[in-house]
Formats: sequence, C-alpha cells, structure tokens
Amino acid sequence: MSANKLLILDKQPTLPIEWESHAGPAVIGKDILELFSGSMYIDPMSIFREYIQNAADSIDEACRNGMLGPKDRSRVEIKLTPLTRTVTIRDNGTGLPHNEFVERLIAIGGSKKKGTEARGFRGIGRLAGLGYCQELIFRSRVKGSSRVSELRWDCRQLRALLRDATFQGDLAAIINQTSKIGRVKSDNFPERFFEVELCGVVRHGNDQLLNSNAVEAYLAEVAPVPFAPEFRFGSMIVDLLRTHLLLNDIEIYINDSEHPVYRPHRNNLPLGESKSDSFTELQPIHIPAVDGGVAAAGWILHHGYIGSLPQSAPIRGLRTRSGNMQIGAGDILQGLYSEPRFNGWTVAEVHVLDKRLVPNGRRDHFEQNVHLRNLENYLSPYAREISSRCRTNSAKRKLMRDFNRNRGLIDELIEILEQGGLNRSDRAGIANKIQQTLDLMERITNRNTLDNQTKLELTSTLVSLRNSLTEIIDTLPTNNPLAHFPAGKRRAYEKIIGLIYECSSNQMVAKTLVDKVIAKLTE
Amino acid sequence: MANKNILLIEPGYKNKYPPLGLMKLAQYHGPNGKQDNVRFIKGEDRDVLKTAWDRIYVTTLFSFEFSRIAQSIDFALEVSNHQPDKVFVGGIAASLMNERFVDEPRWRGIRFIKGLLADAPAKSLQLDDFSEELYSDDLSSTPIEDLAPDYSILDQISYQYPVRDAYFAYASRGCIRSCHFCGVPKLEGSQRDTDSIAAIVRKIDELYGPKKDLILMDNNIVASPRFKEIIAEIRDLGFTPGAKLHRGRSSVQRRVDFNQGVDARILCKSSMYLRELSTICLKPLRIAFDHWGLKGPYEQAVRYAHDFQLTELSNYMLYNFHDSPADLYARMRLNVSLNEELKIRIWSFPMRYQPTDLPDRSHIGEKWTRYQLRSLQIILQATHGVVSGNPTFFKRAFGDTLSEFEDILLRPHHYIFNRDWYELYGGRTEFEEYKRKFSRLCVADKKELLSVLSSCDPRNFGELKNSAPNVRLRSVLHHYGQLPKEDEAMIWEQQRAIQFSQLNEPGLAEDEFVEDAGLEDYSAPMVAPLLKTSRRRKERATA
Repeated sequence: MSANKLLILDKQPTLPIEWESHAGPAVIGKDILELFSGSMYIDPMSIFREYIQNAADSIDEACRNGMLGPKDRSRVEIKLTPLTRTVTIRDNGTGLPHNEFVERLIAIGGSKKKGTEARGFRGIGRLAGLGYCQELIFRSRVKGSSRVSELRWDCRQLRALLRDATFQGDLAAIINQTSKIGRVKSDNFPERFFEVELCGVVRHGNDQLLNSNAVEAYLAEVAPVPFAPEFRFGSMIVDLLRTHLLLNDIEIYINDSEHPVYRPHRNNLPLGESKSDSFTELQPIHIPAVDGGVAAAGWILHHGYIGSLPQSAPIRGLRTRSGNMQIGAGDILQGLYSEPRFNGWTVAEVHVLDKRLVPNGRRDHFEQNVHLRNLENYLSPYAREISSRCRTNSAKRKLMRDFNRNRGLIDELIEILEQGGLNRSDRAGIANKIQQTLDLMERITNRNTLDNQTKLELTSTLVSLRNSLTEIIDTLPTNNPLAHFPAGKRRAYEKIIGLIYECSSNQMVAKTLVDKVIAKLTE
Repeated sequence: MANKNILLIEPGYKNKYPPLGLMKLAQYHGPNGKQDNVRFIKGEDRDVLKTAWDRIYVTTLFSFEFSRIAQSIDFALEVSNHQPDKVFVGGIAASLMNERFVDEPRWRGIRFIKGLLADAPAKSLQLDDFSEELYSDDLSSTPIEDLAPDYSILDQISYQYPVRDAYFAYASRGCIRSCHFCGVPKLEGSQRDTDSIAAIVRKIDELYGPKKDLILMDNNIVASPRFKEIIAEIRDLGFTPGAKLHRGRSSVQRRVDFNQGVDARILCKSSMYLRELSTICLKPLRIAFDHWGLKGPYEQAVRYAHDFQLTELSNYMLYNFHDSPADLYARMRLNVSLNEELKIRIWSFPMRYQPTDLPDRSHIGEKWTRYQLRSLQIILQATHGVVSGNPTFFKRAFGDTLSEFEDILLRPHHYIFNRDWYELYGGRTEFEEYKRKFSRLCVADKKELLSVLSSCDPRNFGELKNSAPNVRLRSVLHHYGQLPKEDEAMIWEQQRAIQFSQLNEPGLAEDEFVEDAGLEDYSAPMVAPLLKTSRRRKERATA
C-alpha cells in the first residue's frame, strides 16, 4: 500500500468513546445576519414576495378572528416612489400590538407562525429588505391603540459593522446597535395596519424594485392574487380547487392603480412571433399523500400545443404553489419531463397541501424528503401525458402540412390539365401523378395519429378532389385551346409545351409561361 | 393507509412456475393486506407509465437471464420516475449475484434483496423509517414469505404458466448438502422445517378455491426429520393415490410433485422413504442423478420405487459440470435399461450446468466442448428437453452406443436439426456422403475436428476447411458450413408435407417438463422450427 494512501474501512471499528455534552453557550456570530439578509435573497424582487407573504398571513389571521368580515376587502397597498427612492407595503391585516411588535420583529428565527396555517414559519423573511435599502422601517398599529409602533434598522451602519473586522459583538449586539424601537402618535395612519418601508432603495441592476410594471408582473406570477375577471377558466379553476383549498386571494394595488394585480393568465395564449393559441380543456391534478389524504391539487390548461411558450411567459411550465404563493419558477419541475423542453409547452399549477411539503428558506424549491419525491412521482404521469400531447399534436400538424402540401400540388396539376395544350401522353402522365398524390393523401388520412373527426374531414376533401379530377378529365377533349390548329402543327405545339413543363423546375412558373405562349398562339 | 399503487414486474423470460415471491407480495399489499392497488406485468408493458407507482417490485429467476433482468430493472427505474428508492429487486438471481446487481452504478439506490422475506416486512424489505418510507413501521406483520400467494394477479397478464393450477408450498427450506453446482445453500442456507403446509393449502382454498395439484418445492424433503409427518399431512389433505378434484361435473386427477427432486443418497438407505412416498399421489417421482458416481444409490432408489409401484419417474441429470459426454450417456443408458427391466417409465431431463453467478450460459465444463454442448442442445430442442427411457426413441435421438452418441454430437448442426430430412428424405445422399467421409476419420482426426469446431463462431465454419491439416478433415469440414437461409427455408417448406418421426414418445404432460432446459439461447434460425414443433404438440394435445 502506498504511504500516501488513506485507508477508509468499509465499516469503522466500534471503539469505546467517552461522550460529553457541550457545557457553554453556543456562539451565534454577527455574520449570520448577513446570511439571512443578503445571501438568502439573491433576487431583489423576492423582498416583495417576503413582505406580501407576511401581509397575506396577517390578513388571513384577521379574517379568521373576525377583524375582516366576509364583505371586507383584504387589501395590500404598494407605493413606489422613485423620487425619494422609497418602497412602502401596507396591509389591513391584524397589525401587531406594541409588546408583540417588539418581541416578534427583533427575534431572529423561531417564528410563532410555525405549526399554524401561515405561509411563513422561519421568522427571517422580514430581514429580506436589509440588503436592499439604507433604512428599513416597520410600522404597525392595532385597533384601539392611539400610537403607532415603529422599528428602524439602520442598514448603512449594519453593513459597516458586518464588514468591520474589529467589531467583536455577536448577533444580539449588532441587532441592538443597528435597530431602534419607538412609538409615535399620529393620525396619518389607518387605525389597524402593518407596513414596511424601505428608504433609500439601492440602485440594483435595472432598478426593478422601483419599476411598477416589473413589480406588478412579479407579483402577478408569485403572489396570492385573483385571476383576471376576463380569464374564462379562472372561476373554473377556483371551483375545481375549492374541495381542497380556498385560494384566499388578496387585492394588491400598486401606486393607487384602479385595478388590483391579477394572475397573468388570459384567454389568449401568446406564443411569440405573432403566433398565439387558446386554452381548450381544464384537467384537474390530484396527488395523494404518502400516508393517505391529499398531498397536492392542481390543474392543467391544455391548448393546441402548437409550440413552446416564450421563455419569459409568466405562465409557462408546471409550477408549484404553497399557500397560493409560487415556489420557485416555471422550471421547478422541468426534470419530470423526459424531454425538458415540453415543460415549456405546459400551463399548469400544483398547490401543495401536505404540510410536510416544506418550501426551502429561499422558497425556490422544497426541502428534499419522501413527500417531495411522492409529489414528483405522482406528477410524472401528468408530465408524460403532456409530452405525449405535444408529440401527437406535432405529428398531427406535420401530417396536416403534408396533406395540404399535396393538395396544393394536385391543385397545380389540375390547373395545368385545365389549361390544355398538352398531348395525350403528357396528360396521362399528369393524371397518373395526381393519382399517386391522392393515394399518398389517402395514406396520410388513415394514420392513427389523426383523430376521427380530422380523418372524416380529410376523407371528405379527398372525395371531392377525386370527383373534380374525374370532371376535368371528362371535359378535356373539348377544352383544348390549340384544337383549331392543323393536326401536325398542333402536335408540334403540344410537344413544345410538354417540354417546357418537363424542363422547368417550377411547375407554376412554367404554367405562366405556357399561358402566355398559348395566348400568343391563339391571338 | 391504503390505495397505494404497487407494481409487480416479472422479466419477460419464459418460465414454468408463476412468480411466488411476487404473488406473496401481492398478498401483502392486496385486498386482504394493505388494500393497495396491485398491478402485475410480465416484461415491459409501457401502459404502466400512465400511472404513478408508490412501490415497484421486480423478481428475478435464472442468473443467466441477466440481460433480460437488467432490461426489466431499467424499465422499473423509468416507471419509478428515476426514484430508485421505490424499486425493490429480489428472487433467485438477485440473491445469487447480489453484488453484481448492487455494484451496477446505474442502479444505485435500488434495493436488491438477498434471500427470503422471512422477517417482518419492514425489516425484510430494508425500509427506513427515518426517511418515512411507506410501511416502514410494519415491524410486526407476518413475514411476506409466510403469506399465501395471491393467485388473482395471474389473471392480469396474458402469459400462461405451464403450471398454475396448483398449491405451491414448502415443507422445508434449505438443504443438508452444499453441492458446488447448486444455488440453494446461498439462497436458503441450511435445512429447516417450515410451518404446516395444511395451513397454507387451507388459506389458498379459502381465498382462491381448491387447486388441482400440490407442488412442494422443498430442496431435500427426505432429509427432513419430519418426513413421515409431512407425508401424513399430505395424505390428510386428500392427496392419496388416485385422488381426484371434482369441479362441477368434471373431475381431474390430482398429483403431488416434489419439483426439486428427492435425494437418492437418502432414498437408497431404507425402503421406508419410497413406501411413504407411494402413499401419496406422487407424479412423477423426481430423483436427481447428477453424476455416474451416484449410480448405486440411484439404481437402488429406482428399484425401491418399483417395489412400491411408483412407475412414473423423472430425473434431473446435471451435465457440463465435472462429468463428460460419456458420463451423461451412461446415465441415460442406465435409465433405458431400468425401463426395459422394470417396465417403468423414466423421463430424464439433462440440466446444463452454469455457475450460479454467471450472467449468461457461456460456461463450458472441463470435459465438454462448445460444439458438443450446442449439438446436445439441438437434440434436446427436438425432444423438448426430455430424454425418453423408451429404447426405440432413445436410440434414435442419442444413438445406440457411446460411440454413436459421440458421433452425433460431432455432426454438422443442420444435419442434427433437420435430422429426418438428411437421414430419410431429400438430404439423404448428402448425408450418406458425409458419413462415408466421417468414417475415414481416425480418433485423432475426430479430436482435431471437435477442437476446431469449438474454436470459432458457427458463422465461420465454412472457412475451416481451408486450414484443415489433412485431406480427410478437409473433405469432412466441407459439410460444416452454415446452411444458407434460403436452403434451410426450402427444407422446412418441403418438410411440411412429410410426417416426421418423433425423437420422443408422446405422453409427458406440459407441467412435468423442467423449468429451464437451456433450449432457447441458440442462434436465431433455430428458433422458427422449434416454435412450429411446439405448435404441433399443442395441436395434438387439443385434438
């Protein structure tokens, strides 16, 4: 054995070891805050997801405890002010009483939402804004309270201390040093609310955080907002899911817009480059849980499967939602397809219901466990079916293209026959070519890829083509524009016309030429 | 928890007995067990891709069917949506070549179960409760091995197992011996008795109605200290000589079959064993005759059988192990003599030895050659793997003397395969010419001939004459070139009109043939007429 080789045994020998517990407190350093604020939320837009998620949880709670009645609107207002570089997100959920406000907003991790119906449960989402602004402010008031609670994070100082190698404080020390809590008496706020204000929003990339169109598009894709009223499958999807979950949509208004943000689905399905399609069929998805019950429910909107949706289409792909908020993006389940490109042809969503299907901290996927594998396993046949539809429709379209191309060819040949001017042998040659093409079209018609309705339509087209061919052939002898020439001359002209067709690579160009020749000859 | 989707896969090889392991798993998961949805397929039925399966079990049988098994495992992996933790592979090949399966990188994560599912289900199936696997908490149910097989799954496939109307049971597992050629010591370990066969028979009766036969798959029943009790239990179940099963207006003869054979070395020690066996409707009495060294015990056992009117005998003859063609011929010949002397009927089934961990049938015993093995295989194809004890049929198929047998083994294969054509009909002149040339060969020539024929692929036999060391061999080798396909087709066409002589006497029921006689791994052209022959046989059976 080489001296450099490290020997690893198949099974380590069991040696007597004296175990002891770690006695002192575990050190939690300041850098963990950078992990939660910066590293966790790489996409700046995800801060909207985190704050809308908290708003949605608060609104749900307000509905449960009667603060919001059935007729009240659950509402979130977003104000983007490019001039002051400020983003404000305010909801009409429960709000937080001052003591709870301090306790919950200062804590890192250990969310009180854990084990409840709420979407968030890790207690770190509200830190998402720390990395994207100079000052992060939380405000809240509950009904009956005259004062508004306020927590301010000084993000500039926070960044400086995180970078400062000489700062020896731990997590608690850096929080204490960079945040402050206060209460203010003000009539400028609603009687019950919670809001997040990001002041001095950092210029990041194309400054999407302050772009209302970009924010609306992002939230339309991710947030628990309603389907657009004009989307005809919207109410059907809501009804279909009702047995499993209530979507609890919230209304989000951006910069005082008249209409709330809607989900991005519309009746028309844009496929790019002036192509579009429409939805034809709604198929439910039902995923049983590992040990009984329902793990997930969802839907597929089938369409003509003409092609893939554009990469940027916000409805493209088999998507997942938890608490009606999107997890990951359109490619999260791409791996279920034997050919991943067919995910791009898919419009479908799955709402996970099993609490053991846990979104990961970045909410770009789920925690890997047996329940996720069960979800993927049960979704695979759906993915296979979609792939099969894509392939079948593609094959069908090819057959239809072939059929129509051949039909066009027959039309051209019929026009040549109708033109007259060919001798008997050339006419027979064209009639034979038409017959062969018809036979080919008949074989296409009989292909199993085509459905019965299409087969019937194609058969009917074939019958009419055959009939018109018989009609033309019957009338040919009386239809010769060269008939008035003496036989010898006529045969010579016919021979030349035949040669024009024979030597031409394009039958229709040749026909135009022959039309002109015949016109000259018969002037 | 119920309604989970369970898929059972048996690879698409031909086999005689239904997959007991899968049938027991079906019982575990099915309507009398976990109430899951159980689907059974044989081969790769792509229709199952439309369903999501919570667990997939693949059974395996002969190790030499490795490539077909691999195909099924790959398919299971595809069906599982590449979640190998849902795939479980068990059975004989998976046990005998466990490491070979486990070492395959593309199957990482699949559980290859070695041996029997004799512990609590979660333990036997290596289920992990930390990963919250389905039924991983089932540490107290009856071991799957002890469940009654679920016969209802056999209706889900079109394949018809030659033996299906039978109780399949074990009175004992394991074996007292540890023969090198046998997989049992690896699979089941040492011999021990199992629970009452009456209980399993009653359970099958209750769930699926009575079965005609009782197939006991014990490896060495006569070695059991409870031998007499087991026979008494079989008698008590009604399987006595002449017993019939009445179904509506018809009644069918019942039989007991110790299908793995009984041990001549024990049978010969006392007449008690065969006296006991004669008190049940045993048919056939299968005795292993693995090498000529067992002649004494074997012959004594046959004579005891005759004494107790057990006249329908069958035996397994291992070959291609440490034996030689002469050893095999002597054993077959002994059966002919015993048949003639005792007026009994012994059918022999030569079983070609393959090491239990070899993934194909490429093994060649030290006293055999590749060419001889192929020749014997072709003879056995015509006889469906059976050697008749009837002298007329035997002599026609294998020759009257060892020398004739050796000459037959050395014949061009198309002469063996189309034997009637060359010996009696259109090919006679050519065959006579071959015989003339062959008779000129000396012992050394024959040895050389065997050596060159075993040295290359049959497709290259036509070239061998060019390098023959002498004129005699060159002229004989001229006959060994492969018959062109068109000529072979012509022979088959002309043969259709001819009534052929049989190399085997009729009368052996399909369910008495051996599980695998190694008849189907020959080159493609040999397959067509074999199928034709079997069709003829079926037609006869229905006529």
